[in-house]
Amino acid sequence: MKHKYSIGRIATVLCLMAFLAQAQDKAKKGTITIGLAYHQLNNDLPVIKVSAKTRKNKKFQPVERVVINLFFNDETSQGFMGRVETNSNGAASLSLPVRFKAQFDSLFSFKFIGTLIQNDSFEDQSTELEISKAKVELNLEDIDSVRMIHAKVLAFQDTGWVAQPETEIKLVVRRLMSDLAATEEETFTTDKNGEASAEFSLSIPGDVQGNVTIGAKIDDHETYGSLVSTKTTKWGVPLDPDNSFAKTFAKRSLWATRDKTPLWLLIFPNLIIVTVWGIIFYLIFQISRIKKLGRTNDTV
Amino acid sequence: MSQLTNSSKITTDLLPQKFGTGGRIWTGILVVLCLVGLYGYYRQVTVGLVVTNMRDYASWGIYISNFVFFVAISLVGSLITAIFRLASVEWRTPLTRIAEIIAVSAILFASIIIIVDMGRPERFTHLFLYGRLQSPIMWDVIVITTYLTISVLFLYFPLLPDLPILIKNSKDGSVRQKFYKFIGSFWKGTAAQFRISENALRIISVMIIPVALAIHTVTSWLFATTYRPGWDSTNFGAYFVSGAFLVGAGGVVVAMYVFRKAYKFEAYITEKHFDNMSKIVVLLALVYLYFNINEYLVPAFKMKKAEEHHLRSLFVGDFARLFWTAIVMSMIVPIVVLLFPKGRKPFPAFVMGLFVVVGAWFKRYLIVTPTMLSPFLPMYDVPDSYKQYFPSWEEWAITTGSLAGTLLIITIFTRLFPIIPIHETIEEMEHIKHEKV
Amino acid sequence: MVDLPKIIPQSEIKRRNFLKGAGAMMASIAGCNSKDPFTTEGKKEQVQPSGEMVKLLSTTGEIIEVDKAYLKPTEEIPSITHMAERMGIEGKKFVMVIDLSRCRNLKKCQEACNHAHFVSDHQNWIKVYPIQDAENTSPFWQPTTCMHCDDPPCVKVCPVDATFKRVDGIVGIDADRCIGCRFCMAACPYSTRVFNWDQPIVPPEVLALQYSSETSCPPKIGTVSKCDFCPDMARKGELPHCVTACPNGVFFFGDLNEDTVTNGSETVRFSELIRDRSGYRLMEDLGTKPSVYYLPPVDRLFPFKDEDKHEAKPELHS
Repeated sequence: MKHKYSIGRIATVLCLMAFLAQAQDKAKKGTITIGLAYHQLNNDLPVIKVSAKTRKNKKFQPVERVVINLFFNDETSQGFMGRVETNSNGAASLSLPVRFKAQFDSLFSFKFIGTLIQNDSFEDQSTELEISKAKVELNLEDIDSVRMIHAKVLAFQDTGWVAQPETEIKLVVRRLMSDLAATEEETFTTDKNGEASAEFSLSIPGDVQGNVTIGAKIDDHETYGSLVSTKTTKWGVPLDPDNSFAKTFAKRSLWATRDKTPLWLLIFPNLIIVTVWGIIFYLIFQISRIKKLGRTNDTV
Repeated sequence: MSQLTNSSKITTDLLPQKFGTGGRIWTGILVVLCLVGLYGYYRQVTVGLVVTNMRDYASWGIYISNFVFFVAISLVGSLITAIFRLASVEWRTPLTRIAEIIAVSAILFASIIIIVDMGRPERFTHLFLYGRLQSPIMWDVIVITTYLTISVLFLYFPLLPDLPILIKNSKDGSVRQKFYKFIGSFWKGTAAQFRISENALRIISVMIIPVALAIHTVTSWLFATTYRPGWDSTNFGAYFVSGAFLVGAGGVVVAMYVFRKAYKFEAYITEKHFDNMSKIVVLLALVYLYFNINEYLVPAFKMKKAEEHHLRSLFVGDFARLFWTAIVMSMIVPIVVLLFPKGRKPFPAFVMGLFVVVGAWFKRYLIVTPTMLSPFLPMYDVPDSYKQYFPSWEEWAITTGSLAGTLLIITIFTRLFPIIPIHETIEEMEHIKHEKV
Repeated sequence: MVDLPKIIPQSEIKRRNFLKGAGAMMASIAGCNSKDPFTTEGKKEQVQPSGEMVKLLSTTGEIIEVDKAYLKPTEEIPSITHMAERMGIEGKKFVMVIDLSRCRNLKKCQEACNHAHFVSDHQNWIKVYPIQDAENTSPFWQPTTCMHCDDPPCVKVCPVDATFKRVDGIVGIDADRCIGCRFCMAACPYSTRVFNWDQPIVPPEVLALQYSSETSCPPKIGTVSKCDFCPDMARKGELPHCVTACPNGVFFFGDLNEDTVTNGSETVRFSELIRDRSGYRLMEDLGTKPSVYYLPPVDRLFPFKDEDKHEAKPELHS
């Protein structure tokens, strides 16, 4: 009797402890900061770049493996864009799905919503990003070997596309992982016509035909987001195929794959190996000759 | 009549005998060591190379130094058998088969130990499917295979004339006799057969010498083709080959003594043999000492920055005790002792032979490990265990197992075949008798 | 010329196994991912609604129903072939510049690299050495990656072509081919290669992936690993993990053919950077022709402080 009673007590205490522990855990959820950034290249559908950060030890640290839901304009099933999971840098990206294109084209401004729900380690969170639609027009001119870059910033308003003055814009050469400044000045500000121009005087390598991609970009604007407009043209120095590493790579060398063994290594060692093994096979053949002699000859 | 008795006496003396207590204990110990080694390898294969104490800096350890040792000692086959044969050295007869079986056994275990060292031994076939001729390892694989084949042939051809004697002297219908018959019942000893055999042996004698030189030169290039201090030397080929000849000669002296004692071969392996072999050991030790001086004195004179750490570790640092012991033990002491006629008597010669062989094993260790622990960039951002190297029990077990395995093959061979060629000895005796008459 | 040229003909693309959505997600966040290497722009979605609805909870507490097809943002796209991985990206020649005047031994590069490639903490593909060339010279921190030499001693000695030089300059390792002979480790003068002595600690979903020499994942026991210059990131137009992780902008990375390198925030012309800041390569006299350049520690941003109290060992070979 006593036995049963004490077991019951222990069980109750354990359950209480477990419940308290769970409650404690619930209370310990961290806060996450969701960042949304708007990126558009030329006339493509925009890409929303998501960043997830949390405050730890007075510093912001990226949070990986959190699932963020993205919505376009409304947090409804129609507005649902998709779901992303952040990588080791706390970043993720999602482009606006094609089904929103018509809606996107018609609007002057729109909203993006990113939400975090039902995460074990973080409280529910929601962030909004409001963007006004804008575009950058890029024109390249080559007159009398003077190369000019012309950029114009326009915003979509009820009267149509309206030029935007006083907007910061950069003129760049698009490279593999980044943009190189195409001009001496870092940034330009559009004039009253929403335009900015500069001379392109860089001598920069392009591809084999001399193509380079020139870009005009607005970086992280308050209302317009990040916009890039690009054009490819033959303003680069063509790559010299004779000087490239590809040429060295195609030659025979000690570090190449075995089909590109140096000739001296291919010829002489193989000659030696064939000769020596030829002799070995001759010797083995001699054994068989001895064998034959042994069978025909019975006397010692 | 006396001829016959003599030749039959030779035969009885030299036929392989059953092991006595000593022989059985010896074989037993070898088998146990092999089994322990196998267990060590089982651990390595199932758990990974982490059971060794090799880490990212000392990424080559005693498996590789053991491999070099095996390749070195296998050169003895060409030294004794081929060079003596070509130089018509008369007293070579009792030593040729000893030398050859040491060579074959050693080169066999060299191949085995190199597979043991691989991180992915099951991918051994990749060497043949995807092999790159530019790699020194491929050269080594090719030369070792070639040398093994030639050495087996070099063992086989002189064995043929002894097979009829073995067949005659074994129990009819036994497994042994069947085995002897399988490998050489066709040998009838006719003039025609001898002609072919002699011709073959002449060809092999000539061919095996450059192949033997190649095998150890190519092995030395596994080190000399890298930039590391201690390995980046133009001297390496000759240095390794001279060391190989020395350890091979020392090994033969040891084997000579053991067989002489075990089988009471005093009439065949005479004191004169020890005298002559000892003189050869002295010569080879002097040559090896010469190469060692070149290898260590010259860089020490310059003390280039990269080599300073390495040379210091050998001369006065972590490896100093081992280094100086190996030099003294494997070269200096044998040279001094064997210069004296008393020192060239069987027993002292045997001890010197042991010194040479054991010293050589440690010398190979000193070639591999100290260099790996003197990298160009400091040893940093690694656990402390990475900054030193002392082999684990598994490594010792496997290495000892491989050495035991080599000795075991030689032992089994001796049980099956006469370690001193019977037919050649009889021929030689008759030749001497003829000359006297 | 930003669009990466497609280097394999369509007919050679092999369909990979479809991973479960979660597995693919896990793998992608780890940096070891099998996604399409070609696009630098946002992925265009062409998913048709499936009709099957899934319930989501909004922050306002409402329940929203969403078509299940929209939950998976992209199609599973086949990865590049084995041969393509061995050839490399045509027209590119990757180069790295490490600015020693900015390095403060924060080891963020090491953390990010180890995390992305599942490198155990006793192996480090990036080692940050305290270097002092001579008694009277100044000590500094030197992060060292694989040099991806143009005359690579490691590639020369590999017996089975498990390590190979690519046309884009990267030296890769095929862990499915490696026999673990460790000759490459003996040959490398920069001590940059590590060996998987033990079973690597890797999450099961990454272990299940097909090995790719572009991600060097999953690492395999008994084989050699090293820094791979993150070619999987380069194909996406992204920088290697160490470059993005360094808060001081020590690492610059780019294409030598474009004469441009960037550390994520600054983009400069490579030739100008090397000329103006007197860039050099490690152990130039060995003739390995490394692809990593160093900018000497002049006008240091931070003084040299060895918090671990390790003695700055002099570099043995300058």
